[in-house]
Amino acid sequence: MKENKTYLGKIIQSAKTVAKGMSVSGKHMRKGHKNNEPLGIEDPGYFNSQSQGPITIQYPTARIPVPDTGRYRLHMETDDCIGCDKCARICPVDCITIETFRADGDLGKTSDGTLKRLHLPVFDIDMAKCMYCGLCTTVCPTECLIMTKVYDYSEFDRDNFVYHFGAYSPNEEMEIREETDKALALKKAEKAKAGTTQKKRPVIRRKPVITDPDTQAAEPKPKPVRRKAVIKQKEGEVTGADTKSGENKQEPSKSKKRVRPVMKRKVEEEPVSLGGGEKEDSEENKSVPSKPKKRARPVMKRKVEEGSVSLGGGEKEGLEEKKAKPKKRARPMMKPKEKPGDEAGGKEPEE
Amino acid sequence: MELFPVIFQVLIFIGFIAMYALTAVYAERKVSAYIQDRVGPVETGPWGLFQTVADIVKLLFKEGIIPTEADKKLFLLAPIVIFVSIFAGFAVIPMGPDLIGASLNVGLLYLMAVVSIDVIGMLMAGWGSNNKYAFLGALRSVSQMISYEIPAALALLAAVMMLGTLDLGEIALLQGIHSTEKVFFLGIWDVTEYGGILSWSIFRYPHLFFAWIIYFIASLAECNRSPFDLPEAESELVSGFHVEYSGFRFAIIFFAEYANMFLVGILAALVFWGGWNTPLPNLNAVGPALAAEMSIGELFSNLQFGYLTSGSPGSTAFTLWGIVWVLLKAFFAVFIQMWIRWTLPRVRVDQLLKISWKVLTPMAFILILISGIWKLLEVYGQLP
Repeated sequence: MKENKTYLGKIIQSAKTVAKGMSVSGKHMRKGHKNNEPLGIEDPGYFNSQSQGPITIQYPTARIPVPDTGRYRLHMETDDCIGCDKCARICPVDCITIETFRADGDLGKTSDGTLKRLHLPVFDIDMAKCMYCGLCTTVCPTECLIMTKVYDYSEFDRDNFVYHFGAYSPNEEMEIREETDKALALKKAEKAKAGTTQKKRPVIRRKPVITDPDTQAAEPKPKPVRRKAVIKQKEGEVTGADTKSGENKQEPSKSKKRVRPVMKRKVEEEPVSLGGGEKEDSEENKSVPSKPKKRARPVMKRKVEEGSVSLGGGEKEGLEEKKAKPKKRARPMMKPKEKPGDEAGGKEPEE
Repeated sequence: MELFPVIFQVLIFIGFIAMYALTAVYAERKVSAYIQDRVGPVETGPWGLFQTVADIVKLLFKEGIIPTEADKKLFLLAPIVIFVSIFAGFAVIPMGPDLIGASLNVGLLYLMAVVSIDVIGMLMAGWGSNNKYAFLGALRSVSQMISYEIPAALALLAAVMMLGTLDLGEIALLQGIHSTEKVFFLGIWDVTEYGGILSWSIFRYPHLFFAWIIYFIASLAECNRSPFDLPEAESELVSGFHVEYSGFRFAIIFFAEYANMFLVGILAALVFWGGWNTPLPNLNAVGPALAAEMSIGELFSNLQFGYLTSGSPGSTAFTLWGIVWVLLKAFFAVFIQMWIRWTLPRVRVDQLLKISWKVLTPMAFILILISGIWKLLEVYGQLP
């Protein structure tokens, strides 16, 4: 609008602008009575909805539709789960807890035809920890784990966020365990009679959970799990941490052993290049990925160590580190991922 | 007038104003919500109708806090002064034909005078609160209201010069088919028999249309309504002179504000929009004598919409029609006030003063001049 600087021109201009503003607000007012259904982001009219009257959404009674690809609360179809533990292993925040034990024979098939061989007494998802990345749903081989559109499920108690998808109640679990143990024992006996006792090992998972004596005997193989390996070495050197070993025995059942060692190897290679002392360690423990794991955490420390190595004898420091690490590793049992940083921070002053 | 009817009228007015304030607050919230693409109150009762009732109940139950450092006497007296001054203004307002508390021959003058006492109440509230925000708000409020009373009064004066009376009942009567004087549309065309919108003073005397605009703008400032709500400027002064008030006293001040809105609205309706007269004109001039004998069907067939929608003088229907029309007009004025409030931004202090002194006041004087010339021409027979 051309600006008119005269007295009357200004008055007329302000009258015009007022009228324009009133017409704009009047248009909105006329549409005010409309009762708009909330549109989803997929709706082509989503971005035009502002010109169509109230945009308020009376939340509990009206909701914006969630797209089909929405990733919200997890749901697990217990009948379709084969207890493969893939979801628990890939979960970045460890919000899935799975316990399985071997079934006597088959438990039937899932809806996609996969054979179920494991009882699933515990399948807990802690939705308070879940970060909704959806990785678990992508690795699930039977697609029994899905993310639903339910996003409003607040609770008064944090414990209520733990969703139990396990197949059995604790009582049922006890009964089934007893039954299967009996049945398996029977089979064992039969096989023993037949003369072939070697095939007991496939039952690896079951051993750590059920019988302590077996695990001790079979330790070499299960020990690849970081924690056990670490503890054994340390136990010999420092103190016998029976409680720690007990904790370790329970956890190995989840079979997290093989996944993590891959990470540790990469770490090990680098330390070797740094100091001679470390080489010895790696050579000694080739078969035991547990040490690499310990140093995988030190990745944070390496930067620090490099400086320290250049200053003084790397070997002595390396030995000190070994002693210091074991003590601290007792804690990692609870929070494996976070502690590496903590340990690094804690060790520096000691060195 | 006897004592009882007076008290009765007062009670009716208090009840009416209370109900009006509740409705107006609800309407204000709905208007603002719709303008801003929201939905406003919807949960309390159907369409949220009981929201303001719930609000006022809450206010009445709240503790009335008096600041320790406040001037207690002024603080307690201020809401009463504010409300009484506004409420006293309703005494001379005809809510319908002959439905007037006090038919004063200086009604309009009395109204302007008594409503001005409102300013003193605000100053008392702001000073008595002993709060810098309240004090600043009160100062702004007083200076603003005093300066805007001048154009408002001058605009009304222009209308009063044309209509020749200060009695609001008579002013309203003169603008319809029941006028005791001849009515000329635009000062030329005799529309005494037609009435309706043609006989409203803004159309009888076209310059009064601008008088109405001046009065309307000035009345916005007098009510501390946006865009002249500097006294309550939330972003600067929290809420102005009543920031320290709570509970029932706050409710009283709130009532007074909305009552003031209604008062200026109904005053504009009475002086400029034909008062309690119907806006629908007779489309066929038959004269009141003939129309009085007609049935409703005959009135309709003769296009006597003016008589149809105002009833015959003296009857109950006549009174009820009058109430309906004057309230509709007043509510429309209040609605426009709300519409403006949620459209226009607040003016600055310098703009506020400029509008008052450089625009509205000179314009109002020009209108008075026109009114005077018009009257002179009438006296000397140049105009009918």
